[in-house]
Amino acid sequence: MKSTPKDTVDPPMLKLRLYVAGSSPNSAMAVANLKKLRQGPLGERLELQVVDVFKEPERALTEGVLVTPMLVKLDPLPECRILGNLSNTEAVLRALGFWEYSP
Amino acid sequence: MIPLTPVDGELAQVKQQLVDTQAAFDALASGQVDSIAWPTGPMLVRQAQEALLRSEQKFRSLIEHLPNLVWVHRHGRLVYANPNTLRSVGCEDAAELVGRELTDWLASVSARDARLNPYEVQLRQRSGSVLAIEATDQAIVYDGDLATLTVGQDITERKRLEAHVLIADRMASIGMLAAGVAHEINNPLAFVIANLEFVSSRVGRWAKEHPEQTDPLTDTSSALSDALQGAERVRLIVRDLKEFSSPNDSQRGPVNVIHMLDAAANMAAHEIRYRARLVKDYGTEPLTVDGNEARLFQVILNLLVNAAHAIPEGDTEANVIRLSACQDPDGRVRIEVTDSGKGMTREVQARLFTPFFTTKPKGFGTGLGLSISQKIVASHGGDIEAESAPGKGSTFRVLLPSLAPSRRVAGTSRKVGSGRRGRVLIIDDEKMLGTSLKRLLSSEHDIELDTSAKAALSRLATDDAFDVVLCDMMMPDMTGAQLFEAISVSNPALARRFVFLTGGAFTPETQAFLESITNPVVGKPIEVEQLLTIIAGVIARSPSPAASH
Repeated sequence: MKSTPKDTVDPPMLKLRLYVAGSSPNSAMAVANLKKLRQGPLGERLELQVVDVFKEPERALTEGVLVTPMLVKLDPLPECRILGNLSNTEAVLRALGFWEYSP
Repeated sequence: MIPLTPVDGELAQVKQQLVDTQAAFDALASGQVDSIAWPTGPMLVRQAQEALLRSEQKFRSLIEHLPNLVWVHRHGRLVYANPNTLRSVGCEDAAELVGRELTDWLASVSARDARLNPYEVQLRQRSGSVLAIEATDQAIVYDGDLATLTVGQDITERKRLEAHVLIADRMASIGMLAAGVAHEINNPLAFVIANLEFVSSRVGRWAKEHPEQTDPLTDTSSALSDALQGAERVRLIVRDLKEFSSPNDSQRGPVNVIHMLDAAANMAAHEIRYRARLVKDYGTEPLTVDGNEARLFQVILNLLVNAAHAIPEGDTEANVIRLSACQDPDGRVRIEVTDSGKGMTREVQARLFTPFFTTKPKGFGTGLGLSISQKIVASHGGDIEAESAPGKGSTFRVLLPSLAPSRRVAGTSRKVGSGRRGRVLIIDDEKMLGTSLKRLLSSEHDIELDTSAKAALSRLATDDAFDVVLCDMMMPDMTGAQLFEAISVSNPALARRFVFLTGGAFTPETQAFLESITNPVVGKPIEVEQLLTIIAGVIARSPSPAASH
């Protein structure tokens, strides 16, 4: 459950990591929903890393992944975790710190 | 160890973990989760659910296939019951019982100390019968709340068995006692009968010689004849008792069926007397089977007593128990006991030969009679069957492989003329029996008496001119068998003229000895007519040694 601090860049990048369970339905949906976000206003500022817990089970364990899909906002701090298939875009954006966003 | 009050930093971490776990549960509930963390690594939710289901089914099947009764209750109401419990109560569906008061189908046997485990309860079946259950209580958390788990075992059969073992035990002791008593009664009874017969014949002769005193003598004579009849009945009872309580189960031989049926009928007379008339429907034609007389006797006695118990007391005129026997066309002896009693339903008939099944009131039947009878008959290569209908009475039929009648069984009824006067030696340690026999036989024969085998042995060494030697089997210093063996060596011709008297309750040695010889054997108490016939037979067979003396 530790955050992995990285060098901060300007303009601030949004560093996200998505833990998935192979191509299971909810995981696939989460990936698709994130890609949609990328096409929106977040665009270039989004840096996304996808981790398959079946391919890296050790990592899932050490990084405290209780369930998948799980999205972790690594940067900017504070770290934040979102569980589920990310289909509620508004709630996701709000959790990530984009209060005023509306599609 | 987990510290109960975590320090600050750790506290925050624990709180975070709880929040994470809560969130994970919420996500799981929303159906948006694909995998969960598992000790062995991430696992697909579907697989985890299946694993959980399997694990749950595994434990459920354990409980549901237990031979025990398992139920859970809370505040006196049933929460869960396993299928065996439902079956025992007679429920199709758990819903019929769950939520209802335990006392609807359970009753305490006695006021119970709550700390006592195991304890006994009575389970009332829907069918009305009651099962005895040995139960053990245990407090558990069930479905998130405190409850009581009860594990029970049906001990109805065990309790019944224990009761019957006690009864069987008692029966065995009574049997042994009866055999002993019969043996003890035999000797005194023998001389009671012998003396009564002697006095009776003397009075008869006196009456002939003194016709002027006929009146008082007739009275005396009829009193004596009554006494004799009574003694004769005692003799038959003793004989039947001996038969019933014969300790030797493996002993087999030709069985005179007619004699056995008579004995069984006598024995059952007391049960039948106030309920029905007993009709004996068999001739005097000998019927013989090979087997154990005491055990076959037990079968017939049991059928007769059952027949009697199927008829209520009171109306002896309207009710009949028929005991019949005949030779079957297929070469078997068929014995039937038919009663005009209440008959049996099809359900009762189906369970007739099941051990412990009984329709008699508690304390009257062990439920073992017919099942034992069936075993006995089967061990004789025979069959036992029943025919019945409610209100139509019942017939029990025993079929046994028959045996051609043997000389030894039929032989004693052979009539031999009284023949010539012979010289007879009586050897019996019971002096009163010896003297009464002497008195009885003196009119027909010349009698000498010895009260020990040793005395007889020394007498016979110098004087062997006896037509017949009547020899008791059981004597203290030297047995009849030992005397016979000594004589067989020194004087085989004399040995052939031995007739043995036995009081029953044989030892195995005596039994083996009697089977090994061809000499006549007379059971005590002695019937004078029978003894005279046998003596005459021995005299007729051999040349006259006494005459040459």
